[in-house]
Amino acid sequence: MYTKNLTRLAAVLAVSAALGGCTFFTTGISNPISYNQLGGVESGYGIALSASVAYRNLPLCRTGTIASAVNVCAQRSIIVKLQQADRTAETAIAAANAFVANNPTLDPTNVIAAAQSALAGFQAIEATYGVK
Amino acid sequence: MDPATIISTIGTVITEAVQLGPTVIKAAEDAEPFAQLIYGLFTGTNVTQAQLDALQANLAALSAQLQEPLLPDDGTTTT
Repeated sequence: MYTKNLTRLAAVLAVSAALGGCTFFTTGISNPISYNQLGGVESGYGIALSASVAYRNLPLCRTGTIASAVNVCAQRSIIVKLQQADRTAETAIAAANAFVANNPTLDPTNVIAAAQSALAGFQAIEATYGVK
Repeated sequence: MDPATIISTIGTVITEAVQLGPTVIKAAEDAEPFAQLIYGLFTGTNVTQAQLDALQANLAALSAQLQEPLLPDDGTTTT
């Protein structure tokens, strides 16, 4: 009887593991790697965003002028591009943050990769237009 | 370029730099909490959910500043 129950328990564990992956065995154990990865992405984005906010706060370039060392100003079209990229990045990073917060034991690779990709897109726009 | 022009240009650059000072300082202040977290990662400190939430709040505040609507285009500024 005891052996039979053990066999049943082993079968239940095997099925649970197969259905739920590692979740069954790791419930309640948060993954510090996920937090660190996401923290790195969020920090990188924060630094990039700080530069964009500084650019946003410059006076707009007057018609017929271009930004230079002696005419420090922001171009309307560049601000609009930064705003668009920010919306994309904010959405991706918020999604990654929510996923990690709500599923601390699950693999967040996909959502963090999406956030990293959005951050790279934002940084590329900054690099293209010399916002740094 | 004659000396007077050079001096004038230098004066203009210095004026711009002085005017830009607060902007640069604010950018550095805005970036500080993010830089601190990166430094912590390099020194082996693990990030917590509370820190992520704080970063998220900082990001949201910065994003709100960036997303502030531009003044209407009245033709006096370059697009």
